[in-house]
Amino acid sequence: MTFTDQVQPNAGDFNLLACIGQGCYNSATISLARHIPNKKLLAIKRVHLEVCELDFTSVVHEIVMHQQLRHKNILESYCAFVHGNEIWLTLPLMGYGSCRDLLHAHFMTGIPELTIAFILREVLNGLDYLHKWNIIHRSVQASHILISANGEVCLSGLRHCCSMIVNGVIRPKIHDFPSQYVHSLQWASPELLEQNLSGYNTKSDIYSVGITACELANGVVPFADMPLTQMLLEKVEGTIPRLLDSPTHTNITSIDDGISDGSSQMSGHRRSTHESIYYEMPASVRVLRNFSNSFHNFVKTCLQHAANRPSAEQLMQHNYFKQIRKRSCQYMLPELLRPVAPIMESTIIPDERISIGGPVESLIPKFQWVDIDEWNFGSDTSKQSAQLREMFPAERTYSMMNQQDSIPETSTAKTPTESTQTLQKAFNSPDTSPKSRKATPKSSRKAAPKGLPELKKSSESSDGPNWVE
Amino acid sequence: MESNPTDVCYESDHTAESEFNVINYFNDDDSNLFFHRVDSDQIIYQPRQKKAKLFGQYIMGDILGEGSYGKVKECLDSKTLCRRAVKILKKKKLRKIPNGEANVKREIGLLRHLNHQNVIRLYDVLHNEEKQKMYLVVEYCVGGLQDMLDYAPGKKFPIWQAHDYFHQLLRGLEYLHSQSIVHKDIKPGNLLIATNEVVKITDLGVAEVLDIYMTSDICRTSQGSPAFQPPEIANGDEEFSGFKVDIWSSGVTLYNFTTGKYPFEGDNIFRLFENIASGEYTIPNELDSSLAELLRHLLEYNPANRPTIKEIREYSWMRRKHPQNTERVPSPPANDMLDAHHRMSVLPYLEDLHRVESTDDGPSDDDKTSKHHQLAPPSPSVAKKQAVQKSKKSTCRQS
Repeated sequence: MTFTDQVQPNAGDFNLLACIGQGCYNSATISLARHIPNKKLLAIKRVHLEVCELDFTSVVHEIVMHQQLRHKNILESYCAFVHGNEIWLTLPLMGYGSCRDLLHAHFMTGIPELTIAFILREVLNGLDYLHKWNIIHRSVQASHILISANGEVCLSGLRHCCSMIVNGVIRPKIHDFPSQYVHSLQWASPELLEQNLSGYNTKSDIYSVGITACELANGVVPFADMPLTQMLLEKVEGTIPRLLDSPTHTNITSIDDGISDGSSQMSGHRRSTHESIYYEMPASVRVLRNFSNSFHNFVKTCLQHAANRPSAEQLMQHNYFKQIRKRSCQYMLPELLRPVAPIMESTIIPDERISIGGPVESLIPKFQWVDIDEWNFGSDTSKQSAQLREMFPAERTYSMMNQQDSIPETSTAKTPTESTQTLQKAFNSPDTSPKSRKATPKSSRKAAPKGLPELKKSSESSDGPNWVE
Repeated sequence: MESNPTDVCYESDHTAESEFNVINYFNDDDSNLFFHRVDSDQIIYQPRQKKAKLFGQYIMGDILGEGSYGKVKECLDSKTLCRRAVKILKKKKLRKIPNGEANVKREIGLLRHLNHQNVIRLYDVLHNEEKQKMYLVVEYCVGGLQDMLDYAPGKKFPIWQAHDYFHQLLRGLEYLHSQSIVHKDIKPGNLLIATNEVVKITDLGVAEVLDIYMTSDICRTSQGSPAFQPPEIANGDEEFSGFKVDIWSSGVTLYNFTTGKYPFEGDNIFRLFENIASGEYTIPNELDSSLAELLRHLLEYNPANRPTIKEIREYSWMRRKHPQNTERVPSPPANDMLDAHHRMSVLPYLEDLHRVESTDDGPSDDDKTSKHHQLAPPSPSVAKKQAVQKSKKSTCRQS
């Protein structure tokens, strides 16, 4: 009997522990709960039916979709039932929360490229499944990508998904504009927002993947710094958001120069106002950030005109994912996400005296992480950066990068982005023997569950940042 | 927002632009005459001169249609980015129409409580006391079925399309009847089509709500379109069954969908009513016998013999799947036949809105500097960027 079968629609079976999030525009509370019969942790989404201004049918739709869809990258639900004034939807516990949570709490200026690759590949896999069932997700965004404590990536937010099958016929295009869509507008494709007769299809999700990639990498969603109406205008007029790093940053300067003399404005060259957010970042982050060409290309590919956008299946073959090859995200993600601590069994024992509705933050300090230095391969820098981290806990990532800036090149220390760059080169160069390439992932996979020290050792033995390979 | 078009701060740069300022003078009252005079490449700039008009949270777009009560314009909900339509009612004009104000009030009261995919949704009602205008924000529709028929070859729909629309009409009508509402004015002109090919019943201006305690659907008045009125109204009966009026009108509508003609015609309303009262009409021979049978029952002289909506669905023509062997009749292109996709007409206004917004904070007496401010990136960031680049270069050299 699987766990799914054991969860019965009985409110008495669950012990609510803490509030770990909000959903459905704050009309729903996500609670951490213990399933009393078999003592496992899970999450319960409680939708309050009297307070919420939600369209009830959309709540039902969401539950139905959760139960109909079965895929490892789509959040499944154990069961749903009505308890008092609430609908309870029992879901597996996704220990790391959503990618939005990760951005808020730990990766303020963006998640490293390699981590994003792992996340997006799973997202695309989930989308591929949905698209093959002629379902459009319509709200792919960081807050709808959940990561479990052991690194599984799931898509949630099924409330807005819709079928391309209308009256038993698969439609090539649909025209429905989702109701209560305000919080997903930034991710929506231009063709969806335009609401005209050309309609949209599953390719709309691919655009959202592109925007999500920018969101994850830049730390902020494109167009967030402008009114919705202006965002609409920018999208329809063809402004394409991009990853913001030091090379693109050079381009921005040149475009600005072209516009300030007033000549290029008429020729349709628009200053991308949505990138102003980039200038607000600390200079250290801006200079050192350098995404691989394949990542830039991936985003560009996703954000093309609908007719040229590849399918989710085709996108999974994109060069960008070559850096992670076939390695499973299951062991890699928890390592890559360090020092973020997921909510899991070990973080809330021994007594469950956490008040209901208590903030998640109270859980986090309980978790003792040993080492946070996953990106530094040389031992010489780790101490310094650890010190820095103590001094500036919030700006942890920046200070680490600053640190490495002053280190001569001979040092093995690499910033996350630099390491992926080298990685990219390594893959492109023909002299890397396939044998060694195959060997490394295996060892790292084995090492991963045991913890970081093991991993480090393996990386030290072979030169360069091999462990990420 | 309503300011004179000349005070746009665009006088300086381009001659093409200043030309268009002049055109904008005339364009404000939507005369399309001037469009034909300019080159096609210049038309691109024309929308930039549209002044953004806001009411409540909505941004006004182009005109979709015009009626005796006022205009219908496209608009955009700036909070949800939902495309909407707004019926602008001028109180002055309403007073001139018999029962005008009462009908509008009733329509608003009705629509507020209705929620069905085949009945037009009313989202918002706004008043402007100063201008004596009323704004009814409703679902956006691409056009009316009447416009489509006018545009279609033979002024009729292919059978499968007519079947689809009639099915949807019945669904909407069934909902209205379930809410004790008699529409009384069902006709292609009051059926709109949304972007997703969903039919929306609109114009409940002459609809009647039956008293909830009433056991029958007896009505006494009707103000619907003459060609769609049943014999009992043409005869001037004191009382008649309301629901059966709608059934008859649906019958005439289906007749019109499939043949492009009307079962009863007349040079004037008296001749027309005479014809309807006689009950004599012909069904073209080319129609399928099952469709002819359905039409004959819908256009039954005696209201008691007309089928109910449930019964209509049982007819073999209704139950059958009709092959899509002919091309769909599309909605006629918008914007003087140029825009087959019915693109958002609000976009040019948005452009104006956001451009003006950014120039507003600059000093208005010095256009050039304000423009420079708007277009050039904030100078501190430029300095930062350059510094950053320099430092980057230097680090490269070091390494």
